[in-house]
Amino acid sequence: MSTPSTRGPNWGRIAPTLVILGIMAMPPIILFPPMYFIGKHHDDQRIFLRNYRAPWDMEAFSFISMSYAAESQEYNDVVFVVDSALRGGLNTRQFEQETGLKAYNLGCVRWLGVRGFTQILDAYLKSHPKPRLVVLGVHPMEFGIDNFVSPEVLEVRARFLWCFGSGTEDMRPHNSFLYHVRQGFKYMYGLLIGGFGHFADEPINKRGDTFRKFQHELSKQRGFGPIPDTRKGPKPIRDKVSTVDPFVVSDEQKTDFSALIRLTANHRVDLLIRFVPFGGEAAEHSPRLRAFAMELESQSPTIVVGRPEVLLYDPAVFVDGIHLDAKGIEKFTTFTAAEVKTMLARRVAQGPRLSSSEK
Amino acid sequence: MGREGFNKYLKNRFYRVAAILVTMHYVCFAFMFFSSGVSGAGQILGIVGRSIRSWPTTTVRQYPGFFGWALMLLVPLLILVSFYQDAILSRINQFGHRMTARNRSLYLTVLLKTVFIAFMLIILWGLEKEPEIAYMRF
Repeated sequence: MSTPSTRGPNWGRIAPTLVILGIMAMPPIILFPPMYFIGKHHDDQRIFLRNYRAPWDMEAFSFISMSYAAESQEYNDVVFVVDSALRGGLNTRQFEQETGLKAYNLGCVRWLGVRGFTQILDAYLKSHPKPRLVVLGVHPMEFGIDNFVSPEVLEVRARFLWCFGSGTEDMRPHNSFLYHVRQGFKYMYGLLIGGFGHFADEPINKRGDTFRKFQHELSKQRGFGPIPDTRKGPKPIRDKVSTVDPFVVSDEQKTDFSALIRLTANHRVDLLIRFVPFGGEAAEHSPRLRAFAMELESQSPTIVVGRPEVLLYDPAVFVDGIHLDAKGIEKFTTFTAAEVKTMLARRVAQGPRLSSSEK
Repeated sequence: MGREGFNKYLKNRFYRVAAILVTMHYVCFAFMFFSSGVSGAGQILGIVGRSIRSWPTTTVRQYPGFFGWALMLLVPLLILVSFYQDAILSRINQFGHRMTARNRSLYLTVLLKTVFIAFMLIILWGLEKEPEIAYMRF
């Protein structure tokens, strides 16, 4: 006959373990809910720049462009909505001297993509008098860029679109509980340390540039910010003619372009799309870019895509393969000034254009 | 100075506080080289040197923030505490003896330490640095 076991759980041993586990669980139970609400509330406010660290250069350039677009009310004849290749490749003052037109370079960063540029242009058109021409400058290799960027970069882009876009829930980049908790901690730390003002003078890069310095310099040069030439050694040269067509346009990019075209068409603003100079290996003519250009032009009579689509420049005039040096800037600015003057003269000669419904 | 003079010097509160301050500054100075490298430390020292040379024309542009004010209050408080270091340490010792005399107090100490560590770990997790993005690599 078996005797029933009288040995129950050894509470003398289990209890301390449970107490320790309970104690370890206590801090999250106490801290997580308030931090979540703080983080979520801060996210709801849609403030782009973080109050707990110096902005990254990408954030700084995007924010400075957006600030001018949304807060200034200045009139400009020509507005450049561009990536960094043109922010540092088109000298706005030189352009103004060569054309006699008032211009502003709303250059930000290519990682924002055409959707980001559309957001900046939308803000500009809402708060400024209508310009005579909007120039959209994009690097032709930008179309497949999403395949090469890190998740952190995509996060900044998503945050930019959330903060400056429509603000609908589908645009919110983060919904995770732990993300908001962590943001709550960081936001509180930022508050204690003095907020964004504390970081505006902190170095962003190795050269010691700060947010305020960027802001001051870009404002002084009407958005133009050349890239420092730190090249050493012999400059590369183009020694052979290529037959490669490296430019691929995805369907997503086409949709993004269409949204920007609709925006300019709704405001009845002329749009010139200019693919910026290319220093890599490519043929002088790209059937893919030509087809894309014609597709864009067919969407609205207010659009012109600059020809030739592929502007092949000597690699020696590029600082880093994408951004132009002083010689390249001068050459490209003169080219763009002539292109803009020709386009505006043609528009004047054509007279006012009517949309299909008005006809 | 002699043995007697040296003992007198060791017991002097003023010298002791001054020695602590000098040691702390030396440690901070050395840490600067570890955290920023030789060139980074050189840059920091250059900025400090320029601000000292241009003082008092150097204006304080930034509001120090709550954290800054807290530090400003904490430093004189620590200096004051170091004047009464012996008395404070002896009180802590007495308290420690009393605490360890009873099991319940020992448990309480362990629990408080656990809570403190748990809070610290969570705050460290919350404030973890985001991976930095350098768009312009120059």
